[in-house]
Amino acid sequence: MNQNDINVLLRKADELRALFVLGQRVIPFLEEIFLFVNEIEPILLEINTSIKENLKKMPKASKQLSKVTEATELATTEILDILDGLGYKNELINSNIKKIREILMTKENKSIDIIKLVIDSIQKGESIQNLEPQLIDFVNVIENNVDPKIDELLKHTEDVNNSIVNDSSSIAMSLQVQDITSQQIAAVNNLLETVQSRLSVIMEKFQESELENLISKEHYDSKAKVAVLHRKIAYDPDAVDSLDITKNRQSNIDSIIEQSKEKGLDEIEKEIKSEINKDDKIVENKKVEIEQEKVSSFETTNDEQDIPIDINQLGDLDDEISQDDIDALFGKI
Amino acid sequence: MKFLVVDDSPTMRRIVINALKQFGYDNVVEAGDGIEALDVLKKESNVEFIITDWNMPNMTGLELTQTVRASTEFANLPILMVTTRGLKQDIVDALKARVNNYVVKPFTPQVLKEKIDAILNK
Repeated sequence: MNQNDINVLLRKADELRALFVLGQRVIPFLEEIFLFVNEIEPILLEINTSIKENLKKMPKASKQLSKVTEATELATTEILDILDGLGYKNELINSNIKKIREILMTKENKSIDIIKLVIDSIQKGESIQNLEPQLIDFVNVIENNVDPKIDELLKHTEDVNNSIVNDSSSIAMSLQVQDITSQQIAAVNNLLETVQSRLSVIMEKFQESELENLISKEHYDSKAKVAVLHRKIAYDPDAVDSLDITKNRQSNIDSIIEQSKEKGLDEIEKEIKSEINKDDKIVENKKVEIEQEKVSSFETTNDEQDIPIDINQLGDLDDEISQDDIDALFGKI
Repeated sequence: MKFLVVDDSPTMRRIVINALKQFGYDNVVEAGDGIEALDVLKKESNVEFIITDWNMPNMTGLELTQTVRASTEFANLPILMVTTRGLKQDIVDALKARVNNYVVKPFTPQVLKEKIDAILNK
């Protein structure tokens, strides 16, 4: 080993020493990173789960709001149509009143004319017998033309008036949409509250950790809350369906009540449970079928294939599925 | 005849009360939920008919029905459920709680009248 070799060896040893020194300095930093990742991992997992859960609920909330808008528009249009009709009916009633007033005026004038003729005849000492043809003619006109015309107009006015009562019933029915839409909005508000509380929990965890500095204070206000509705509203999340299937709904319910009298409630309940199981099986089979199709299409080729139903639309396969979603999916086949 | 109309929606209460007035029933008292309805029943004398919604805060229409049926004083009062809930299971649950009849919203005044008449004519 010559002097050059020894120099190289010493340099290498020096480099190795520098590396160890660097390692000693880096280790605490690496430990910090390790602790940071350890701390952030559950929070990231929670954020991920929360985002997934909330995203799953969003389409339903969006659908509920869309139906609220649709129902409100429909009800408003119905009421406006009825109001247009009421305006027309008001004109009809006014026109009938005017006609009746004119007819009564004519009748009154004719009566005065006849009375004047009678008075005139008496004053002249003429026999009233001579007025008989005029009196008969007057009575005929009144009986055959004037009175029937008034009756006809009164009958028509009465019909128009009755139809106004029906219109008010229709308006009352359209206004019931307010109850249904307020339940939908309450349901969406409840969802927003859930999202808000989940996000708050995550933000609080951030604040409790050493990651506090990562939160932009400008964008996070822990006191910000979803607005409380003007009154406490209990809601049926499926109430919006009542807007879609108003026809036959009452008669279906009447028929269940009738059946319960004949068969008894327990029997009806058994039938309902068996129907639900049947529906569940249909949905389950469909899901399996879709999964199989997806797998087989994947096996034959790696290219993306057009699947008749988008399984992702079903969301979590363990969750309940609504009839609307089933119809929407089946409609696409 | 004195009616008690129970619904958390003031709009719905007004619609039902207007319909009742159309049918000639002017004597109506109202409540915004089941708890309030029970208070009204105790305070007001001679309530002869209850028309109640199902979904209400504090005490639902179903719970109100069960409470009324379990009481000694009001157990036999006719109860008509008027609600948006229309699932078969809902109807069975309401019948089990012993409502006298069931109207689904939105309803026409004619349907409301038919059901009231049907209960009263029994």
